[in-house]
Amino acid sequence: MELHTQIPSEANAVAHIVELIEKFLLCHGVSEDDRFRTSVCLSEALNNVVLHNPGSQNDDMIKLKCLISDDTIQVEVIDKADDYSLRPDAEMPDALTEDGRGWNIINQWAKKIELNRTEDGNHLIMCLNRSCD
Amino acid sequence: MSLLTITDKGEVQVVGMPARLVMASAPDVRNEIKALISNTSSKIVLDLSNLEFVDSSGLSVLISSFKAAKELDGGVVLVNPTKQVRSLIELTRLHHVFEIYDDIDSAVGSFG
Repeated sequence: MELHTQIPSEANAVAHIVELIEKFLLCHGVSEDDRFRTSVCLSEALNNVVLHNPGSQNDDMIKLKCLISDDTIQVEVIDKADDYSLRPDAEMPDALTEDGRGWNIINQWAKKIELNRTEDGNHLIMCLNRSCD
Repeated sequence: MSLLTITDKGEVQVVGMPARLVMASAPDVRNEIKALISNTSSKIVLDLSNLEFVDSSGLSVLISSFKAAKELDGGVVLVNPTKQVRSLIELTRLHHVFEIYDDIDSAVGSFG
């Protein structure tokens, strides 16, 4: 099962599309735990794009793809944000630090993360294993 | 319109959180809680029972509330997170910061 869509680079649009992806996952039998983990990773990735490229110009639309298989859920984000990179070594910040947890959460919950630079922009691929429940 | 439900329990305020706490809503929720802390009480129970979805932006609201309450010699405790929200709290190690209770009476009672 696949879902393709695109959104402007805005926080409200991120909130809306994450809810839509959750419903897509629910409709295709994905468990509550897996829906939550996928949605959090997607939200973190999209928030990062918005922070690096706020705005709603048509050519700045963020493209999304969600693919569900029996074993995995793969989310792809294609965007034109500047100056961000994967942070595979991102450590969890000190407990009372308010920001900086996003990449660490993704690193812990996604089994595979790739970031490729293409002519369409940044192409982030996150793949999460589905749990057995 | 307020995003929160607030119940006065004497010296303790019980704050019911919205269903979703994300980057789009975090600034408003943060401001509401900080205003509550500065105006009335610094002993806060954040009721997470309705909170279905939270990301790191939402977690930052919990942390900023905790810090604001501590500055006034109060505190913030959490009550009744869903299994999924609790898993994110534990993943980010915030269960080492927040006391987490299963019911409101225990959370309110924790302030003595």
